[in-house]
Amino acid sequence: MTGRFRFADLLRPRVSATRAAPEAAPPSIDALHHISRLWCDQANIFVKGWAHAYERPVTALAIEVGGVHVPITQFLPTPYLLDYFPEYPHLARAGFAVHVPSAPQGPMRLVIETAAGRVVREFPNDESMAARSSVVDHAPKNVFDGFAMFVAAIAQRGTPVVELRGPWDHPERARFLAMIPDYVDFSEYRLGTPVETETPDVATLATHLSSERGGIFSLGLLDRVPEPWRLVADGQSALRHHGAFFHLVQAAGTHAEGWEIGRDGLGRLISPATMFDTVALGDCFDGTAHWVLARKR
Amino acid sequence: MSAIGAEAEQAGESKPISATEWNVQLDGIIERCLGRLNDLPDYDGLCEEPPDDQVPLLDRAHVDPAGLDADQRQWRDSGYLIKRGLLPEQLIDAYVALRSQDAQGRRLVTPLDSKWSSPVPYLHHAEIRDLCLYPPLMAVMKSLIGAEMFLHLNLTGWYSTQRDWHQDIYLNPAEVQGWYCAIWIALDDVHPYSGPFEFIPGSHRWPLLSGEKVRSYLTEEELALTDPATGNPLWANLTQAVVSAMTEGKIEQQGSKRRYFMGRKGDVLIWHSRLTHRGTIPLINNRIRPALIGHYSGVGHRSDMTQLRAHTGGGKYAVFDYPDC
Repeated sequence: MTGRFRFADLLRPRVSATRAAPEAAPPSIDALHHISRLWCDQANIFVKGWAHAYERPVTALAIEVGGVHVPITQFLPTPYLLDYFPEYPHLARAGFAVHVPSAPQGPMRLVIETAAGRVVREFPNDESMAARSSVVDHAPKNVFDGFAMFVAAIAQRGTPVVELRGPWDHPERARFLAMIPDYVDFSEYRLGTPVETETPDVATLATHLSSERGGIFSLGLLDRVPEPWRLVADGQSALRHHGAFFHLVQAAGTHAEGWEIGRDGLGRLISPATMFDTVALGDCFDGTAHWVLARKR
Repeated sequence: MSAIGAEAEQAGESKPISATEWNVQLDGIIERCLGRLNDLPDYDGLCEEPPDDQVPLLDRAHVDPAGLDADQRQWRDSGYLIKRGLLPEQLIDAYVALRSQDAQGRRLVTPLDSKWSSPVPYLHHAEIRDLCLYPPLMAVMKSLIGAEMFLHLNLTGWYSTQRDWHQDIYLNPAEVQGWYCAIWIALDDVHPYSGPFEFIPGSHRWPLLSGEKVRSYLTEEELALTDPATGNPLWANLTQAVVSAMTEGKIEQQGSKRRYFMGRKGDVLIWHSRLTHRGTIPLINNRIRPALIGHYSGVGHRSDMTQLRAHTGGGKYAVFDYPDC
């Protein structure tokens, strides 16, 4: 896209996979947007977010995908934007939610029109989505460095941390626990029962963890519960905003219980799709285990 | 050896300590320190007021408002000034191009990528000096502080510092006495969820939090503690939680309004050395907060920074024996 250089341009591939918009935006119009939900299947896209052009009222807003142009006719309340932009009261209604009857082919564009001109922003190639969907480049490579980051996060926030334990303990568990400072409010829940049977403990985990936790971790449990996705969902709901989530799973073939979760699978299980930002993902203990450090969105 | 000394020693021995390990250890030290600092007096009890004749003109008790221009009135009343679009885009783009790749040409584009560990990268890069010493910017600062200002510190991260409430002056030698200011240059449009700069307009008129008084509650070991990576003193890290909690109480007590700097590319915020401010926590992890920060003191007001050099484009900067790193 021609015009003013933006940080989002830095985050695009050197050879851009996207093409310039035919109607490039005039460089003089400033606009800001945020995509908070983006859902799609083979024939549909749903986009929710907000957009504004600062002091200039938005006269029309639309989503374009391929040849499909869907105007946004209803602006949703966004009173929280006034905390940031109190000088522009019209930003109290800058939200949108729209269904686009199209396959997600090619770049999706948000077209923001004002009386002074239009701005076209592509997504999800913009900065926020790029940042959200990727593991941090300089993530720690060592599992103990990763756990130290987890500990640092919970120590900084001063909120309780909980370990979820199962019938099997990782041999290095003591080494991990030794990294948690004494002043951290630490508790553990032993889920206990073998995974071959239904485990009421797991089913009631959400009840146990009903309060806001600063961090939740497990060492060799996630791959041994009947429904790891449920544990992830319950953990997500039990964490406070930006709470830390650390899990270590045994690699495939190291035990015969539960699930075989590879590193990539772990990264998908705890990911933006389950409302986590992945901070780091790695292998450890000579490839016999995988680990992930994530942060609740 | 003291407990902290032993801990720090231990940190430096056995094997090279990682940044994260150090942070965990530091958290422990801070926690123990905070236990003692619970007995601190309240905010006002830690303040002191410098003599009126030693502070910049616009900070003095009596100033004829008729003699002030709009920028100076805003500064005197609110402790900050936003200059929209002051900095030319080509200077910003030149700096961003420099900042966004390392010496090997690899791109540094994620929020956690850092280009420099040095707090004074301006020493070696004209692109930074061109921006931070841009003559119209320096002229505005001079009109606010009443002295020619020189650059002596940069923060070049593209991620919110997340440093909680503080006044800059509290971190500086007492002699500076308000002959100091800082700037936040928006390198791109700032997104509300990126952890923007937050400040309390008018808080520069609050009593001056005394670094000396706060430090008097620390032990000698704590005062001597330094960051193993940079060698910088860590006393302010030890006291930050207490100071920010007291400040939060002060904000509530005063019913003060909070404000974010939501700059657009080329905008610059200049803030008073006593303005209470913080780097907020990003609501979206890893969201870039596109800023270049510079700190300045008045020429002739820093006995610890006497070696100054003139930039070819105008303006002065302090010279230190610091490599390009």
